[in-house]
Amino acid sequence: MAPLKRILLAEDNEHDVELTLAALEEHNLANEVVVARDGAEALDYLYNRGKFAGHANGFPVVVMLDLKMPKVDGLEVLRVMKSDPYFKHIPVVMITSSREEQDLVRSYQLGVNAYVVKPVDFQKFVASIKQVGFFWAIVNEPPPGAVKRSG
Amino acid sequence: MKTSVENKIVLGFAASVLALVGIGWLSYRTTTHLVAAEDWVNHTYKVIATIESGRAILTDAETAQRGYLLTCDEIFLRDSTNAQAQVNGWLEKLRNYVSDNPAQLKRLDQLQPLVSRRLAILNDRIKIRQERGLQAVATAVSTREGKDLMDQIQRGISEMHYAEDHLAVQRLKTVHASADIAEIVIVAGSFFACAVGLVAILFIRRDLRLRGQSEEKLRQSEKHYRTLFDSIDEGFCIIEMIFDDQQKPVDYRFLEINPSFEKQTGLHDALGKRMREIAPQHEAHWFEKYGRVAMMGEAVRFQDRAEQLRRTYDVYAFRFGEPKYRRVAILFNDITKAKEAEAEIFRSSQEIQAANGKLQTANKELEAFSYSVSHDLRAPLRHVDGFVDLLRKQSAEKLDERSRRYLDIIADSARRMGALIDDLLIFSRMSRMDLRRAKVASESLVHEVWDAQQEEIRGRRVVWKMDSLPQIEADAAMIRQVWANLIGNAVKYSRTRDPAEIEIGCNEEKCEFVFFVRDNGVGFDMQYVDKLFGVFQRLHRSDEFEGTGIGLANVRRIVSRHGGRTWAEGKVGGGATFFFSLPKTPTEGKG
Repeated sequence: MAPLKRILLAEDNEHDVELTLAALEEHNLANEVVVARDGAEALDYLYNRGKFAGHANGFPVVVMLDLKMPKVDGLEVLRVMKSDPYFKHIPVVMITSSREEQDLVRSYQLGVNAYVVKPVDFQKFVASIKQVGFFWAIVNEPPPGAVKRSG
Repeated sequence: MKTSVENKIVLGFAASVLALVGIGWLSYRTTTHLVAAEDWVNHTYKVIATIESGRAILTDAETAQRGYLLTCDEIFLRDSTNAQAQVNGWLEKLRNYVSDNPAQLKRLDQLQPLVSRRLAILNDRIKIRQERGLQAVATAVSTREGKDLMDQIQRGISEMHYAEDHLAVQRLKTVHASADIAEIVIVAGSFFACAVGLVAILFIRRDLRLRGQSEEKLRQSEKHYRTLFDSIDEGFCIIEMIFDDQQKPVDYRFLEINPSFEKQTGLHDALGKRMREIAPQHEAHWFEKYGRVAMMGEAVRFQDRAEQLRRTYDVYAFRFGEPKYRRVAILFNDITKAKEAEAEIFRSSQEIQAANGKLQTANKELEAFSYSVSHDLRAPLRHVDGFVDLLRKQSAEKLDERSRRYLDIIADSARRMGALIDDLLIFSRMSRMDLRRAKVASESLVHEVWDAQQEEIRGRRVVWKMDSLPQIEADAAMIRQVWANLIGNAVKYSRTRDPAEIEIGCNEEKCEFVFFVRDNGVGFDMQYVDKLFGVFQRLHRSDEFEGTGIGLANVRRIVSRHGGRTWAEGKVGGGATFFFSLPKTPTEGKG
């Protein structure tokens, strides 16, 4: 039975995963992250099925979604979550390369809680991810039923 | 009702003749009256003369008797007897004359016995003289019986004379009156006849003049139509249809053509000729159409091609005159060129549509491209930068100075490329995005942009000056980009100045606002001014002033989309001024 993690990161690019984890490590959040390599896996994790079947009840305090992923993209994951009464109050943060307005607008239409553009500059990227992690995983009071902080 | 001139002439003459006949008749009547009246006057004078002749006869008889009484001479006796013999004739004659006048007859009746008595006395005296002598006669005479009688007779005669005189006066008056009437009738009648004639003549003259005028008008109008016919650019002709035995229209003959006909058809000397004779291959449908017009009398309008004439015509045809003449009037225009132009326009519009389609496809491709650039191209750069940073942290103490510098260069290049991609994306987005016009307060926009520059100017002395700026109608986000680029440039290129001076203002022109950003920075060489606004065009090296060369291209694109213009003035080392204009009334620009 896979342990429940407080942060769900859906990101298809392994380098981005690594960089994101490196950034979160600065707040010692790295080991609280479960990584889904596409939208389908992210949904599997949430719905307790597929390779993530059989974990305990509860949900992450924040979901970080890349916009562009194979199979099921970030917008679709967002749409499914926000239309499911069980998941719709989980904060979702889009962390994406896209500055395209249409993506931004659609994300907010679907009810995204934050939208962060990944800067090329790593220092800035680290700063962004740190802020997102710090806020949603540490400062923000998660809704009831969320996984409690370990350690 | 209109009376023709001829009728008027007849009427006029009839009226004149009638007037003349009437006047003649009236004149005749009055003249007759006059003559009758004159006859009566003459009659009266005759009566008077007759009356007076009686007085003379009686006097003669008395004078002769007196002579005889004195002398007893027989000659006196004979004279007296003669005179007495005339008395009865006189009385007879007088009675005859006055037979129409009872008053005179009465007087004559009274006079006659007196005369007889008088004559008896005369003869009695003569007898006394002859028988008893002079003395006895003198005694008889002295009784004055004769004289008294004679006085009575004289009075009676005078009375009759007087009555006739009176009558004469009356009758003369009648004569004069009749004469006057005759005169009036003749003079007035003549005048009237003249007047009738004159009026008739005047009417007739007027009618003739009017007829002349209307004939002139008709001539004028004919001339006008002739001029129209001769000068219109459209071809015009009147044709006579020719049918075969089956009443099928097979040909036509040109009865009349206007001067434009030749220009419109290219046919020379067509007048009087048949169409088949001129153009044997002229399409059958032309004959059929005109034949139908000639037969049915229904006007037609159509456009068709005459292959043998190598022209296309716009035609209006209608039946001309009585159906039995089978004539058709045709007004036509050579529209070959217009048709060709139309076809050309159609072709070009097809081409434009095709090009538009291609353009749309290209635009979509470009959009997909920039999307993937935005997303995918930035990821590897981020990784380069990210892992260089991780490497630096991981192996900081193991790396020598040179290696660390290399890592810096790698990270710096990645960031530069990231900035280029970002700017390029903004540029592409500015071109593609719809304008969302709204009221924009330029001043607060500029303040926002200026505030965002505070980081940049920290530690520098900058003299900042801003005039009041108007409110405009524009896409706020785009105009913010314009100000951000221009002010950012001003800040950047005045970096070497102490103090730097940056001035922002606006000149209001008739139809547009001209905004400007002026700095006292390094300026530029005016011969390169055209390169300033091009994509990736730079006048400075990156190690002098960082930048991607997209900013001003963006400014130009945005301003142009708002219907405005962009230009710049500068001098090497003497600062630069960048201008952009925006129309007061929003217009969609190109780009």
